[in-house]
Amino acid sequence: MAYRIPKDDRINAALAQSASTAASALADDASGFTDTATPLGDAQPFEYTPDAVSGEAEEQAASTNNPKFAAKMLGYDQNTFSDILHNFKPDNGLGPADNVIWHDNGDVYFNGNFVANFHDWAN
Amino acid sequence: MSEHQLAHATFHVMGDSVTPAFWTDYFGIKPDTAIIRGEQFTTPSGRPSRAPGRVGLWGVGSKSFIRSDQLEPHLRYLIERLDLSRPGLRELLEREGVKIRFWCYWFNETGDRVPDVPDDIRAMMESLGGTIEIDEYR
Repeated sequence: MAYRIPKDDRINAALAQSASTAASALADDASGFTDTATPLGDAQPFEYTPDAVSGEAEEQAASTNNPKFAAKMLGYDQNTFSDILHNFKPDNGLGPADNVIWHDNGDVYFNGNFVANFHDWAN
Repeated sequence: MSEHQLAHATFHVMGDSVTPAFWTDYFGIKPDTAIIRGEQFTTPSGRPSRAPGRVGLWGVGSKSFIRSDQLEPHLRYLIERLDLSRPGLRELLEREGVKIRFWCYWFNETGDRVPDVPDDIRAMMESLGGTIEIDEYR
């Protein structure tokens, strides 16, 4: 259906045309991405596990990468904590500067991977 | 000196191929740490490790034997106890494909303590292809 554009709407129509052209260009670019992207058909589907996140907020583990906070969280004084950590590092292949994360159950992670439980190094 | 020692040191033999029993025999000393890569080990708490050993490690520490907040007495004690000047040690380490190091605890809460590692000890470790690592706490 043909219709006239009112005079005052010509600028808006021009802008609409411009936006439409840009959107079309983006769509062309986007279509180019699909040629090189990894097909999602290869991905493994996620399994829905409703119980995994059903806990209350206070049940979620606290964690820190700050040794002083970690010492307090895990119930050690600073001296004892540093003594334990000094043995924990080499036994688990960690260097002096490796930045680990302590969870409030004592589990220690490095680069997202479980290392060991800190309490196992207390004697 | 306070109850908490501000310095101590551990001698480590490290590497994927470390067989703790071999080094226990070689040095004639029962180690404080013995870990075989890929095998479960006893942690300091006495509980078994929750994951297999990620490294091979044999270690003897000075902490129970030396009372000093400086590193030098700890390092000299370990050098003498392990007889690190014995001939053929470097060749043996190379043959076994392992490395040695002094792993040094250094508590420096005030920030003004400088680790004391004498030049002759640095030179000795260098001649063995070993390292000295300072694990500092503030």
